[in-house]
Amino acid sequence: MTPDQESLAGCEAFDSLLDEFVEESLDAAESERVSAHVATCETCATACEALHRATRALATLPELDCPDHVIDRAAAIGRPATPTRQRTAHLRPAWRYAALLAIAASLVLMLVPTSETQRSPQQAATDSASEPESSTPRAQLAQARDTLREVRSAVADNRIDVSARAVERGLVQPLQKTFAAVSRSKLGEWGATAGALLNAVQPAPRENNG
Amino acid sequence: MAHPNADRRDAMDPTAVGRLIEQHRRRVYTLAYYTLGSHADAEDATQLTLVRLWRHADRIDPGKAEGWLVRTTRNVCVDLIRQRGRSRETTGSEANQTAIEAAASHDAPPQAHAEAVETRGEIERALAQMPEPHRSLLILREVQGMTYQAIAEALDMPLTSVRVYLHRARRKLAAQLAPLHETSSTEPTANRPEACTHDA
Repeated sequence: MTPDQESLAGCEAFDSLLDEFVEESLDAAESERVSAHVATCETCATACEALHRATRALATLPELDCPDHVIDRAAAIGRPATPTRQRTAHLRPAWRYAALLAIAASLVLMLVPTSETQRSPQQAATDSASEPESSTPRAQLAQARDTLREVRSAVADNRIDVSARAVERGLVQPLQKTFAAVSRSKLGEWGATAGALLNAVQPAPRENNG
Repeated sequence: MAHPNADRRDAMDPTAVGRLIEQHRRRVYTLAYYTLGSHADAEDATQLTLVRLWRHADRIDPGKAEGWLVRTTRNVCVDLIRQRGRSRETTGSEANQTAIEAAASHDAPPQAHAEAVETRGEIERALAQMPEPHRSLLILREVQGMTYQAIAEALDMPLTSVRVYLHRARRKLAAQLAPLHETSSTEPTANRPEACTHDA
């Protein structure tokens, strides 16, 4: 290595320290070492001066305040229409209602395979032989129960926002149809009774302010 | 095992969001302005950022909210630049306008202040020449004084990368500002001992 190359390599080593040197974040010994080098090296002295000037220049740029109308507009657009506390209060009866419906739905779904017993043993055997495992009433019942459990859990955890209208459309009406279908069978009287009970406890649709 | 709603339990209510905005509105707007180079664009970027904050407040860890704001502001700015199909360089003229307005309303001696605001305009224009992420890093570190660690966390960037990018960015900016110094300084070597021979 020639003396010039040696000097250049030395400068490269110092160059990586110049940022911290300018920021005064080196420890005392290292700072002294860099300072001594800069005092004797024109290249590093120039680099150091330029760095110092650049960081000082940026430090003169002022922090700027955001106009109030921007803050207000963002709040008007993004802020939830109902405060969290009111939303929680809104969700609580929805959760209770959904839980009640889930229980009612479970009751109905328990009745569905019961009606299967009305089929003749031959017919049941033929059906089950031609149906895949996942489409058997037992599998569908298990799937329906899992779905209801997930819905109930999601509502309980506030992971989904359920309005009375959504419950009405998504759960009550389908269940009422199910109750009606089950009630046509002789063993579906319990289902019809449960449907009537459900109608009796169904609250009036809530005004949606959001 | 963590509770599935652990973050929700600490979620911010509207009051906490409002407080957070009051605390960081300058940081968001400053980053947006020096990144985009115009007050109109900075207002748009700030508004978009704050709307996202309002909408996602229930999913933001309050302890990491500052980093979230910085990261979102930078992303929004980069998106705006991309969407509008222009680089920041074309908006540098607003730096002059800002400087003129500031000069007109300032109490300092007119000539000295005019020089100061002109220098500020030059610095803003030099900053405008910086590519990303150099520009954002320079603003966060040198203008806003964030620590390396806080920048790394906010931008989801390794600490080493932050140091390397800043090392390069400072040298690029120094090169951009060199002509300014050459024309404005009457004693170019006078500052050197003061600037670069400080004791630890």
